[in-house]
Amino acid sequence: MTDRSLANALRERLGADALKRLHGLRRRLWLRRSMRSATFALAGALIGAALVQLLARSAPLELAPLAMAAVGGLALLGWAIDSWRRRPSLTETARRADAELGLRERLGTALELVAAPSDGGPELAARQLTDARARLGETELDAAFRPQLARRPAAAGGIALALLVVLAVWPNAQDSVLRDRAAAREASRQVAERVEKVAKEAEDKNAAAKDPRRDKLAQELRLLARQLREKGDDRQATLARIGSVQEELSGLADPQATEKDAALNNLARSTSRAASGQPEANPDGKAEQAATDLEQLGEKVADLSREQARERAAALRQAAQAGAASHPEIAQRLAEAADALQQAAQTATEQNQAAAKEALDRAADAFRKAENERQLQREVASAQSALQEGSRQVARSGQQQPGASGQPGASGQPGGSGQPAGSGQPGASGQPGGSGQPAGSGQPGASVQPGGSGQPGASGQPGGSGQPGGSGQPAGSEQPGASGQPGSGSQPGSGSQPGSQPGSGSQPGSGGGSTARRIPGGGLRTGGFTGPTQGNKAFDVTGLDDVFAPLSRIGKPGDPSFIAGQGGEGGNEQTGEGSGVGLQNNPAVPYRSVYNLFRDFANNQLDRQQVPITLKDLVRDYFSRLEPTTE
Amino acid sequence: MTETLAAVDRIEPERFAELAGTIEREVGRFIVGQQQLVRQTLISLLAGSHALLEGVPGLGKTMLVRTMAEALELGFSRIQFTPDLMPADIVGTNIIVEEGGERKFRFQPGPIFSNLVLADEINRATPKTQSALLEAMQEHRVTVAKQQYVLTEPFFVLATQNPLEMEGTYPLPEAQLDRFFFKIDVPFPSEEDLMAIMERTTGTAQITVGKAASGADVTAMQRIAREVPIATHVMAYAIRILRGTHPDTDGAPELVRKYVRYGGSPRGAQAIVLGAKIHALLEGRFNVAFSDVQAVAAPALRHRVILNFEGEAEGISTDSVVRAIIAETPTEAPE
Repeated sequence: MTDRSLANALRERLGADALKRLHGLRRRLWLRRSMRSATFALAGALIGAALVQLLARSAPLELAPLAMAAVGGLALLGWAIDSWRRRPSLTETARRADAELGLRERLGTALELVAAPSDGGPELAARQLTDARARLGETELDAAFRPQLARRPAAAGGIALALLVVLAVWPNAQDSVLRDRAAAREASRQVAERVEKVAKEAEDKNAAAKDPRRDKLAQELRLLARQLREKGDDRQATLARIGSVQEELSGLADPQATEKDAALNNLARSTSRAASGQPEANPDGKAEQAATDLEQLGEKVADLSREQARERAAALRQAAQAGAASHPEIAQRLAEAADALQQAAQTATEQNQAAAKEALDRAADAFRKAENERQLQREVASAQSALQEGSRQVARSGQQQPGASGQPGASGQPGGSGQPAGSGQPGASGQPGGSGQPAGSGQPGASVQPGGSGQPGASGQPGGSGQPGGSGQPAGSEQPGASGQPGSGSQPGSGSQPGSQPGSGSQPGSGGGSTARRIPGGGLRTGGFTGPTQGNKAFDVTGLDDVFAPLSRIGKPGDPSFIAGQGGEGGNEQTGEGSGVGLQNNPAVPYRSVYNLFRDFANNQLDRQQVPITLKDLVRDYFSRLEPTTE
Repeated sequence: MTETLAAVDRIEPERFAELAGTIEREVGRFIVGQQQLVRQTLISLLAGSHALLEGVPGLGKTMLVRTMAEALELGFSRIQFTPDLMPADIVGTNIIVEEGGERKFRFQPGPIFSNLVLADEINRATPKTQSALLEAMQEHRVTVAKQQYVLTEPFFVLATQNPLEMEGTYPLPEAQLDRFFFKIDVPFPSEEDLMAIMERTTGTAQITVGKAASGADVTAMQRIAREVPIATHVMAYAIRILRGTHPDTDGAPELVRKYVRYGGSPRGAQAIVLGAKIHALLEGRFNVAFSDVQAVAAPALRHRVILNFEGEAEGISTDSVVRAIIAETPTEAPE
């Protein structure tokens, strides 16, 4: 019999009031069961949440809040389902009420008699129903089925709650790991966007050129971007991936790309001028313009006078000679074109004119090829720049320590003590010693940095006075050339005297941390130098300010060339001794004579190391401004 | 005529409790204390069955039956069982009588032909004699010389046995024990009860027992007792208790598994349910409660549970087994 039909029968035989009271008892019983079930659910949720919190303490668990919410949701769902399933029927309510109210099974029996009237004698059954109705009417419903909490689950839930409170108050060391991961992931995402942009540009530009190297470049970048998006929360792995791609890109990069770029501009400019005969042609030195000019020259070979052809051929030959070092193929083609042009001018035959035109076209193709190569190098450089910037961004992500701003790394302290890269590149500043190579075997130490402590001879040219160059100070750490400035001794040095340069240099604590990879950390270099027994000549520093203008703008926070420092591996102590025969140097060395050395060294360093393009441009601009003008 | 008989045979349910209360009061005037003994004996009587009283001599077993017979206005006979007692001594026999100059056999009813029969020290008789009594108990009739004789109703046998004297006795086999509705232990009176017994039996006062009910009343009470409704879950509880006496039943208590050889028969459940119905009426209710089942479980089952050797050796009582079953059998599934 269903509850509804039983209720109808009850209303008929026991009365509406009895049925109402039974419904009231059922609601109260349901409430008790729901509360009991809620106790279990709450305890389960609290225990689950506490377990999740404990787990989140032992390992970085990004999904901890979600897991706790899921536990709570599951508990709520379980409670709802359990409460619904435990909704008591009228028969069940009657039986429970008998036990709860001490009715001695009156209600349960009455409901069965109502449901199955044949059970028992009619007289006794009627008596029983009357008795049950009377006892039910006397019942105080408020006393029945008071809500109860399950004690054990409640106790367990209380313990779990206390544990949760403690865990909530107690700092979680894994939070910093999670923040770090999130920051790394965000940084990786940004880097991935940047890398994808570069890849797209490479693909777009390669649509016409069809250069497989560009395809490879774009493919590598796409792959990297995907990896960064998928697994960007591991900073070290991300840096490793970026570094790996950087290594592969370095295979595509031409170390002489910048020089070739400038040389190509010059070559294109001179070629255009030679081909067009106009001195102001192609002022920007565009290779495509040069190719066009060559093709146009080929078109009008027949129209050229012999003199004009000879002049153009000579000019082309001159341009070829000028560009032979940087672009031998173009130079070769230009030379061939010049020869063909001159030949055509001399013979004026159509065959030679056609050959000249063909040679000029080949030269034009060589220019276009070089231009394509230049574009590739630029894209590679752009990609490298993006990767380097990205690696720096990833490395700095999530780091809120002051060290992120790049403390000087001279002290070699990890992290915040890193010296700005600008000042941490003493190689350039240490180069002034190049001109002052210690005499004889006086290369002190095995310092990688030229002009390091072991190259005191810059100014330490054993002059006539026999004074140790630069008062024997090793190249300074902050401004290495200062002590290495070529001395201008007042007295001619006695170069014939054997000089003794037992140089000793030490570089403790060099390589102060830098977040930028492969940026050589600057080191505080101290070293003693015992120069020749005779001092230098008198020293004149007039007019040298322009040459050694301090690079104060480099390496300051906010400067585009600024690179955050990172803890390095500590410096190497380098000591060495050198001894040799001193040379009789001039008391004053014009910077024109050493300019090329400085410039070449700087270019080499820029090419060999991962230096931001902005910094490269800065250095090159610096040397461009210093470039001696031909007077 | 039929309607008149029906009217006579039928009483109001409220009258049942009233009559039973009167009987208990009248018997209680003579039997000091022993309320449980009196009630269980009365339940056996109202169930239309028989009871086995076990107790040491001198506790008033015979007096109880005699007093109850007096209070119920029923015929009473006592049979003292001895080893030489023959079945005919119980059921009766045909004797030759001379009537009208003719000699013929006439059945001479034995003491079994009474309403209340006291079979005193039933275990002293031989099994043959015991079985004659037990057959009459079961069938409510006897057969002599191929002639059946129906016993008068109400027919109620109260057998007693002494648990101490085992020599020269013939213990009732389990199958015959099963025919007793209840096995009622007669406890030793408390100090207060003994004091009252001394005062009543050693003084000059003569206590008389009034008539509380007639045989017709008893028959009517027996009929109405069976009409008491019992809910399904209460009956299921009684059955679970009976099944709990079987050691091979799932969920049987450890005590049962360890010390019980055989559990109760379905007669045990019948005794529980019927006894519980009467108990409910005696309590003034018109339905059976779990408490009624628990109240009659021990007398209904104690002689139906057969202990094994370990149980006997350990001195385990069947009462303790039944108590364990009741304690471990839930009335309903817990909340």
